[in-house]
Amino acid sequence: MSESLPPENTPKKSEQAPVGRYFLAGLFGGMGLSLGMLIAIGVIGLFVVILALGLFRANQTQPTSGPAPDFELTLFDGYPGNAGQTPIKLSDLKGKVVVLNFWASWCVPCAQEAADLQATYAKYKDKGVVFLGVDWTDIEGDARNYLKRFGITYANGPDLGTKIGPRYHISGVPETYVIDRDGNVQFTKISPVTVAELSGVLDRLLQQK
Amino acid sequence: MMKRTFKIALFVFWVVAVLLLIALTSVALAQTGTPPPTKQDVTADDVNRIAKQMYCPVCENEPLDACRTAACQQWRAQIGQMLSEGQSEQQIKDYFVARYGARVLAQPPAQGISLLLYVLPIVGLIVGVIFLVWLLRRLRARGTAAPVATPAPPSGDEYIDRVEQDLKNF
Repeated sequence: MSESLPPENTPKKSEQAPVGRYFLAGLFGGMGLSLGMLIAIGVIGLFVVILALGLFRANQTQPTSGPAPDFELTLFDGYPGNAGQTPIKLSDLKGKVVVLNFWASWCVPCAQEAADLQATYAKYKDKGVVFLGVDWTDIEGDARNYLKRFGITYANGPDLGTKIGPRYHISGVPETYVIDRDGNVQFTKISPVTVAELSGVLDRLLQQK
Repeated sequence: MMKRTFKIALFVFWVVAVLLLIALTSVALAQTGTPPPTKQDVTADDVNRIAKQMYCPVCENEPLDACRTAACQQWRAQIGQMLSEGQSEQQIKDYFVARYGARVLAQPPAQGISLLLYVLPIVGLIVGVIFLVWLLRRLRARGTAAPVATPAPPSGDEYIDRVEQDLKNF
């Protein structure tokens, strides 16, 4: 392939020459690549891309600002809270401040914050704040016992299909998000919350017009 | 000679394909073929037989029968409860998939993008066999017919002749 071509003086063009074939052979042949090599490189490249995407997705973390990922939550019977309807979409709650709490009945730290969440709900439920409890990876019977045990009355429902948790990249439970009237995340807590902490955030957001 | 190699390769291909099909269907049958225990007393073995085909999201890489978290204990209790109600293995799995998504199954369902997991190996096998047959035929053809080089009729153009010759070695 590296030998020199005949001298420059006969560059005649032949009409019947299959140009495409020569082009491909010249392109890849010139790079010293065979078809098999190209396929192998393509397959390896595909693997690298898939791996990179996987690593990128695994490294995503909980949102702390910006638009809150939308979701639809089907509420447990008897736990409509002040959400207004079931199933309830987060985007339907624009204009209201939303407290979104992920929990599970098997979760010990969740039990620590349960009373505080309910107390904060009682304080703000008529002030334009909607509380949504998302029951993550839980069995309904155990979840209902938990809700009864802590006297919880705000809107609660299961994370059906385990779709909402991954959307917020939750690393476990409990996790609490406060979303402002425009649907932006304003507060993220990856451990139990307290009445004082939550009240501070809610007061600030309710003052904003 | 060439035809015989091709026939042998084709035969091997069909044998492998049929064996693969049998293996796949038997796996599918084993999944659905176990009769539901109708007895009231469900043992841990009954529960674990189903649990080991599942993963709860709390234990990312540990099957449900081995995971010791409280969440997975609840899941196993739920399986036991459903078994004692006379529900079948498939009904129980369907319940968990509906609640928590297909990710709870150790063996992903053959639908959507997961279908690729089942189709790609077979496609790869077929492509591989075709490639092998092609390679064998080419090698054989080259081995026997190498000296019988048939030069292309000169086109009257030095460049074209040169490219034709290079293509032959490509």
